[in-house]
Amino acid sequence: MQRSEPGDLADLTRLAVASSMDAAWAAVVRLLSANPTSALHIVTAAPWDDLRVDVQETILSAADTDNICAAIAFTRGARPDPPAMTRKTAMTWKTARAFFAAVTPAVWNTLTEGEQRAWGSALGGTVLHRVVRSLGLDPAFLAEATHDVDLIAAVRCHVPDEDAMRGMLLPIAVRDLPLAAISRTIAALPPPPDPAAFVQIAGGIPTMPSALRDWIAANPTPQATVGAITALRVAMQRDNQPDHCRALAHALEGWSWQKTNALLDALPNDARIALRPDPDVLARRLTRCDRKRDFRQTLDALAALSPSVTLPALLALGDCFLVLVDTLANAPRRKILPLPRSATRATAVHAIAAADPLAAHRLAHALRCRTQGGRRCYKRGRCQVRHDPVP
Amino acid sequence: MHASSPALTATLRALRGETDLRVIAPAFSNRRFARVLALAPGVNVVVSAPGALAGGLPDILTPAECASPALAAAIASLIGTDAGHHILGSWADVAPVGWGASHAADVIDAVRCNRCASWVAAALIGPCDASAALLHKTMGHRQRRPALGTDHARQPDGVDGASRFERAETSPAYTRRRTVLCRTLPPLATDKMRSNDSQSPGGEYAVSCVRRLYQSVTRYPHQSCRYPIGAHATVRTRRSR
Repeated sequence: MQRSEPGDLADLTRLAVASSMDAAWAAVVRLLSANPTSALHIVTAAPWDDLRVDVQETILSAADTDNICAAIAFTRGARPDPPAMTRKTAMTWKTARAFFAAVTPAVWNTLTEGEQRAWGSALGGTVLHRVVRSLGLDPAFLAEATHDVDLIAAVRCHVPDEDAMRGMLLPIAVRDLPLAAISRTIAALPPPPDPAAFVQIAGGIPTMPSALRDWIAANPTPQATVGAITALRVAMQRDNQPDHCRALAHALEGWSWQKTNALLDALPNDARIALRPDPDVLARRLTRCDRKRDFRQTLDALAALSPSVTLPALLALGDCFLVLVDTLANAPRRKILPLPRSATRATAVHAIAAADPLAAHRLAHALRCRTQGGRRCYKRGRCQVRHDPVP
Repeated sequence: MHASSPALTATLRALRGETDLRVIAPAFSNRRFARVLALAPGVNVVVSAPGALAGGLPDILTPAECASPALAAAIASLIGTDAGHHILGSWADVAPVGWGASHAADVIDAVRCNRCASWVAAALIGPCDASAALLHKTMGHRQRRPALGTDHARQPDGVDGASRFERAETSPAYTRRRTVLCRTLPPLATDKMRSNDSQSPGGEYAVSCVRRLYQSVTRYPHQSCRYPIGAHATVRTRRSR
């Protein structure tokens, strides 16, 4: 301990907390006094209330000279303003880590939404377990937390028993499942005690709209839970993988437009726009002036189908792909289906597009770019056409 | 992922009450499905605990679960399988000390079949010649420290070989191996602790145990490295603490 260095401070703090050895605490104070910035390692290694009084006082006394200590002092009520409020440059990821390691729910709730967002964005997503340790099991934090040892320890601080801990971690495990597995897995699980929190965490959304919470309360069925989670995941990932379209079609199977629209209306704005884009906006942005009418007619034809067909089709464009592509302006058309110069190949790509638009999209890009990545893309597209045709 | 993948099918069967590990094994090969099994309510501990291990979440297991004979038997039945390959690494973190001694032959066979890492096998088996030999055969040749001042000490990219060795010693993977291996040592006796350096209670005794664990390395004829594998790093690091 006498030879310990600032790099040992986290381990030394854990040792001091676990053993209550005076020598360990004295070493912590010695290192902290020499370098107040190292308070970051202390508050991240152990909760504030576990620190000995002289360590706490040393940190608070350095608040005027050190930003990290200032952030900690603010979270403990010893300072009226956080450092970022006085100096714009003071809110760094280090001060944010110190802030979240020591903040209490009472102080956090006094911050405005903008301030909370600023601190959250300064922190980044890699150390959310410290937020959970300080602020509790808020689904807003769990929705983006990473499943690891630190998170387990943080959750364990706030739950009465092991069953409750596993219950809090389960939606994170569901969030990390492949989309195609979600519906069957949730159907095999018992109903969650708090369906709204389950959907928020498994859907990966930090902010839960009250409308979605109400919709879940009004539809307490596994199918509704699956529909909401799948819709959120598909909308947030913005990745038109065939798996996603299939998962969405499966989740919405048997749903009426009334029920589907109720869910879509309850989703966060960006998710709703991704799943149900405004036809007028699409037509204005994408189509050629002389083909707007055809474009709208095709979208209307899609809308007449059941939700389990239409919503995935709006992502993958389904059988109407070719019609829609023909109506597009040059720039978006070249991005979606850049036809080869060779007429034979162009005809072949057209034929494939009628069966599988995504495969045709990849194939067309591969034929155009002729790179290594393009050849891989070509092979993947060709395999999909051969083995996995859209029914 | 196809909707009817073996991992998904196995997971669904386990969630519906299946406890035959041979049926559920595919779920343990996929970390994401294994975590669901570990955390889902109502799943038998013989399934959920291996799920936690395969999912890389050994910390959610309680001491009682880790000491459960049913779990020990379940894991023993998976040694040498693909599922066992995913489980044993985390099991080395929490297994009762010396658990693998009674399964040493199976564990060593699993190492030969690339179904278990050598250091994991050594940690499970505990301090003995067999585990020392396992460590020697793998760690020794990879982490040989070049002699300072020789041509071998200077790497083509200009990085000193010794510096590279130092970096390897402090890497998270190496630290974890060292921690897990040190965990397998016998508990520190009070009289031993008293007889050693007061600033590091039990430190010298732990060092001597680690040294003994690796001493048998020198008895193997193909041992050629200058520093006995792992032992050097472990001993030195613990001393410096």
